[in-house]
Amino acid sequence: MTRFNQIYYYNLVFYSRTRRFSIMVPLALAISLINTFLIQFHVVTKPPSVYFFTEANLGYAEILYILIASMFAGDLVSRDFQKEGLFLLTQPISRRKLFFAKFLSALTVSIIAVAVYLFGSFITAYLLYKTIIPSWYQIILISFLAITALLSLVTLFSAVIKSPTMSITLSVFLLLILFPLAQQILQDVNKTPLFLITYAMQIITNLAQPPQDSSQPTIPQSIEVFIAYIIFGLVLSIIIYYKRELTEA
Amino acid sequence: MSVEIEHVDKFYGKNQVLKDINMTIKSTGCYAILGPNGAGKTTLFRVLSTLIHPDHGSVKINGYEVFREREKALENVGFLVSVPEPPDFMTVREFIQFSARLKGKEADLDDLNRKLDLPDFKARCGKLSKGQKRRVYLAAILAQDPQIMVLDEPTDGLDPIEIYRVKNVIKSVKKDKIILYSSHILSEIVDMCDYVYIMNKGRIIYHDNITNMQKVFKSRVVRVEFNYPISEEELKETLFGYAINIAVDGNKADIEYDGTNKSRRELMLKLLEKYEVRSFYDNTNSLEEAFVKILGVFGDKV
Repeated sequence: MTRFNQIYYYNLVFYSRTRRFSIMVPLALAISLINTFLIQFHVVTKPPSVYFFTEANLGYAEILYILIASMFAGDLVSRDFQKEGLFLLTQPISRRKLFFAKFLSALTVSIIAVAVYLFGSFITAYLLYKTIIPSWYQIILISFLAITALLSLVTLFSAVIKSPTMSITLSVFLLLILFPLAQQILQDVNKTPLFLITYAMQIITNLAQPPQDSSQPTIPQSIEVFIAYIIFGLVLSIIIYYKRELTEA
Repeated sequence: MSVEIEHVDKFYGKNQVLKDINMTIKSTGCYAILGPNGAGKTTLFRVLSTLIHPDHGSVKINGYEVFREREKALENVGFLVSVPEPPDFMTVREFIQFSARLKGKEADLDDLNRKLDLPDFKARCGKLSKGQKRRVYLAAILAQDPQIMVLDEPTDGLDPIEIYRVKNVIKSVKKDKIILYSSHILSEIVDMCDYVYIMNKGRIIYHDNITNMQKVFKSRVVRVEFNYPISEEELKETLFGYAINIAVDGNKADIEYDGTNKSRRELMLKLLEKYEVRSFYDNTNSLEEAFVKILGVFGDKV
């Protein structure tokens, strides 16, 4: 096994044994089942079509993906500038490879959590309607791209802030409160907040709507925003990670 | 196998913490880095391990510049810098094996256990005591079988038995490795190391092998114990021309002389001629004393 793979595996073990993994994955599954339970127990009426049901189910995607990214990447860099870094950063592997091995392992566990959520959503839709929406594969691909973009952005926060707890807290605050707030303000003054990742993520619910409905953002717009966030987040993070000195641990 | 540090400077803001550090080590053995707190020992080790970048100068390990050719330079080095801990989420076995495999080796867990009395291999590192964590970390470094080991106060926080084990391990491997070792416990340095670098205020102010250092800075004071109390005035009169300084306390006297064996012998004979001497011995001849003297001699020049 190469050193890159060793570090990747090491981080997978780390995530799989953290409380956040054992909370986030069941939480993703539970969220995907909420609407089904509400329907089954007659708290809400069953939507008239699989589109409405899936759209309602995927309405939680934005919050869930932000939580997943914050939990798995919120300390991705800052963790290495604590005691743990004294071992990893003194091994004969370049910081660039070390960074990408860690990022890929965070991406792997995040994709697992997202996949559990989407799987739960589509399965329950099938159980209730004996069909699923035709754009299911687009939703999966866009979701994976969205979680990659979110992870890149959150990784940047973790590179800028030294304390792991602070970087996780800031990620949650910015993405769950500040970004939606900025989005709302811009929409109120009739500006399209295309550059905001939270706006681009609306594509996930848009894709669950019937094909005749056309709404913003479009698939290409969202993909552009996600790719921009991935490049911006990763490039800046790697520069900071490369230059950062471990002086305190 | 070599460590070469040339003209390394490091600033934290305006504060220069390393000043023109030069060090060339090309043969196996244990090399001590000594210095008071804030001397720059840990900063130097952090530069060596690439945790921090020097502002000037170059650091080469086995001929490779550590920042430009990091992977090759660190290939055969094991670092225990500052207060490292094994990752909490891993078991003892997993961490030691992970460490070994990073260097393409397989850990001989039984051998490491014999040497360091490791805790249960299945125990999570996060559940271990401070001393156990330190031994597991050291085992992880040894599992990499590096040519060069950089150990920053490796016995810090260990109990006497643990210190004994760690010292034995280091003694047993130093024949084939370069070991850079910093410690505040000077007896450890005397016990294990062959060569000493003394740092103060960011500079290397003295370096020599341990035996030479102790000789050069050895005590020039003998302590004499008499069978009865004596007068300082009388003793000074008796030893006029033989002693440089005399301090008397009851039946004991500290007598400073010029440090030569001839003077020491003459001093003893002179005393025996006139007094009933119960004991006569060098006051101290410790590394602590040499260390303090070196700081006194060179410390103000930096």
